[in-house]
Amino acid sequence: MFDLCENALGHLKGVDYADVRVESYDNTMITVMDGQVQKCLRYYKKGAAIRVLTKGAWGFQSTTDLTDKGLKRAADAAVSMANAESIRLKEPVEIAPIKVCEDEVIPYVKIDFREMAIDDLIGLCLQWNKAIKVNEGVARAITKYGTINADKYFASSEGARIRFVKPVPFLGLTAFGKGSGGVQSYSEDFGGTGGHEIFAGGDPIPVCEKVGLEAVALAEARTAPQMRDTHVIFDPDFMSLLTHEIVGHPSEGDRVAGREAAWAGTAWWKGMEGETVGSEYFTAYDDPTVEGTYGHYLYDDEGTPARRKVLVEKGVIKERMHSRETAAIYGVEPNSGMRANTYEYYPIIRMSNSFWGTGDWKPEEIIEDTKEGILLVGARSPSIDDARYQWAISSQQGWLVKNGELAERVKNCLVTATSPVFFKSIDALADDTRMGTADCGKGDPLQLAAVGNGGPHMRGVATILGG
Amino acid sequence: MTGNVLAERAEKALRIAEPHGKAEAYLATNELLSIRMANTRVIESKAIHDTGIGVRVLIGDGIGFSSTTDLTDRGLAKAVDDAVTMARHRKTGFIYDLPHPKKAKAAQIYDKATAELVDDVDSVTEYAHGLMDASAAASPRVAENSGIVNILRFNKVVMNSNGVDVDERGTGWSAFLTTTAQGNLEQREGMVTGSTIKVSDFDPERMGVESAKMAVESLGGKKIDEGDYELILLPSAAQCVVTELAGCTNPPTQESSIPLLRDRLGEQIASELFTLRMNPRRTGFSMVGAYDDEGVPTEELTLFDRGVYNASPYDSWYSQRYGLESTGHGFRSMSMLTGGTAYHGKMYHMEPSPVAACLEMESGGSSVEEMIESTRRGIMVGVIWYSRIMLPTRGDYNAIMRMGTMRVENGDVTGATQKFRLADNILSLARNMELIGEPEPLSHWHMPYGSMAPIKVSKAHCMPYSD
Repeated sequence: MFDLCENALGHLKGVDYADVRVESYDNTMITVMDGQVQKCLRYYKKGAAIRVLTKGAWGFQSTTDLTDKGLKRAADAAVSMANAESIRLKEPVEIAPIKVCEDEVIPYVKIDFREMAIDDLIGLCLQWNKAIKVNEGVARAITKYGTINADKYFASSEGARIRFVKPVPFLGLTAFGKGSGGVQSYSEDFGGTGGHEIFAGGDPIPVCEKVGLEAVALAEARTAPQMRDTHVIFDPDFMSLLTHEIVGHPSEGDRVAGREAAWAGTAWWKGMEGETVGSEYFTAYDDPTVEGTYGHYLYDDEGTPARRKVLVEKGVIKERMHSRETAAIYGVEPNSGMRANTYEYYPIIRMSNSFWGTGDWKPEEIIEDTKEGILLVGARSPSIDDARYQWAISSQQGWLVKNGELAERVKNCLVTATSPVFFKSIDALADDTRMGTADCGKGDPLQLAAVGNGGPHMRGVATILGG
Repeated sequence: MTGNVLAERAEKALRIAEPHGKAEAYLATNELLSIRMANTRVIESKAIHDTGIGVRVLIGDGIGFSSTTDLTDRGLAKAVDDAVTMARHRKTGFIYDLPHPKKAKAAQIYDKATAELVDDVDSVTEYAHGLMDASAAASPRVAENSGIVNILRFNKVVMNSNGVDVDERGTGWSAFLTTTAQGNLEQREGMVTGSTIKVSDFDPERMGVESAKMAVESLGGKKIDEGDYELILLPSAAQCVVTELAGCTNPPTQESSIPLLRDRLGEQIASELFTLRMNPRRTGFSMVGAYDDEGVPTEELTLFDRGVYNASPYDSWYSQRYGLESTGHGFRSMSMLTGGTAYHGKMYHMEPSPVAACLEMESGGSSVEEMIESTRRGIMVGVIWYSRIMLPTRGDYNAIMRMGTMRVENGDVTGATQKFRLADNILSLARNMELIGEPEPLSHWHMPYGSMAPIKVSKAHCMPYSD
């Protein structure tokens, strides 16, 4: 598809900079509920994204018309857009230089879903769904399976030529348990770049059974009491959402620069680079180079080679995620933060895999060391302040901790805290980092990005709402 | 791509599919121009031109769906082949039939002037600058403006083996502006949104001035004490609560994620003042139409009638599964999945599904002034952020009260408050609706568009951010 890229670039002579992405997606989605296939679809799409920078302004047009005429029309439209804004510009856009690369990236796949027939995939989904239904207490079992098979070509007027193949399978397992305490749900998800080996090594059956059992047990649990300023211990699945929302998002360079102020919001720690915002246990990274992860890539959608970003180190703010444009604004090197969901979209700054650093406690040591508090397991839903200053996240379940032991399983747990207070309260970090997944929404029109997030068991102080 | 070409491709797809069984072809072409603003300048001028087809094939009790952007004969044949394969493996347990043709009353969803704007980037850029200029001129305290202007033109064609033959063109605009005002030690925001079919309804001057007013009036806010307050939700804030509640009427939501209203049809859920309709014939930006996305005539549907949960939206598949009639609300939603598509437009990538969108509140006859006069200890809120049902089986609801938060005491607005968290329950908020005002059309970032009225809630639990 480089020929289509070249064709489009050929229609963009005279602009200061241009890049073209031609991408195809061959995706599958299967949903099974209570042993019946609810959804089973396949979608194939292919198109081009043309972005130009001319006279200091950006223009962008995407199209599914890949004929020469269609590409020329799109190229002309992108230039028209840049021209329309350039006459009003106060400050022209500048982009920081990058190493211009030619490369082809094809990730390793062990258990390749692309070689499986659809009836085999449906058979697996039915099998996994059946495994969730461990006993009569499981009132509903839902299996959501999907695959993305992306083939992306990037070419720029600077000479970059990059192909990136990204196979992504994902699996969501949910059970609704019914018990004396009503109905409760419990879920686990897998997702990554590669094949079915991402699903617990290729055999998610034990996890399916666990999902069913946890839902049933949770339906018998009592509601968590309200606990003000208590010790909270988060498991790696809860850490996945927490890290995403209160570390990843406010580290996005466009947010910090106020470019998402319209709706997504800003970052409370804007202008605090180099300042201490948390305890020594607060270290966080964003790293697209981790193979097998949901947010894996080796070049972003500007062709910038990927690398690990140290967002926070021992409580000190170090680095933001940048595009070539925000890097120029901040006077730093671009660090591969720019991505578009698909060819339809203008790239924006996104997390790749944002995760908390690892400590040297064992998870059980943290529990043994806690006189009174709560262990929160898995995450449900976030409600976060637009500057990421204050947050509330519901967990799937909790365990009251008393005198160093897990005393009682509880449901309906909702935890809230203010970020700077919470970051400073962290006093224990385990060595069991695990990476979860998220489909992150940002931008207007809305874009969804595959991101990996995670961390180890961690202890801090926060408030449990409800009761 | 014109309607004639779409229709010809739809007919071709049906001819390829019909030897296998009954079939449906849904073609859509979307042209979306978006001018995005931040830091008081246009940062992204971008456009999407996307055309594709979704094919459903029925074989016995099986249904298959596939979509593609490849509209060549070969591409259509592959899409049909994929759908046939899916149909052979997705057994639904009952014999489903596609909709039969039925004549709809005409709906005015196309506006020539709006359609022409999609090709007129200069004029749309002027609208964007008009918004920012009006805001900046409204007060010297205005520090920055951000937002977006979207202009959409679409054409959808639905044909099926039962004789459904629908060709609809539509237009729409949506815009929002967020103004940041600078105080002595703080910044606060204001936001105004708008969305209709005709761009002649778009008044950048009014929106700019109102956004600035909200931002400036919010300066100097005092922290609230935690407790129960009377809450006046202005239309944009009301939209968040109402949209969450409406979503609970959706059959797929009840089945797989939030069962709050499952089996509760006919129950008094909300205050008697609350009547909420779906009106795809008038309200809803890209979901408007005389026909839904499977060619069934759209109708008004009263979801809540004087507080009673009156009806759920149905498409043909969900309705037949439950032995009911389609209510004409089968829409193809955004694909909320990485690699999917989620811009404003007609989504050919997905199967139709019932969607509680195009919401219109009925006037409650009260004015905002009356709400203020009747309030002893309350808070008025302009814009809510991160509105979520946190606990799906209990309905705990959280949101950040982000903009235009004003203290109301003994019948008067007595000053601004700082941002705070609403931590209550969606069903309690619905029951406690005490006064309802006059509706107005609104857009939102990624929520369905609607016509929303201010709501006064007699009691809502509010929490300040902790230090």
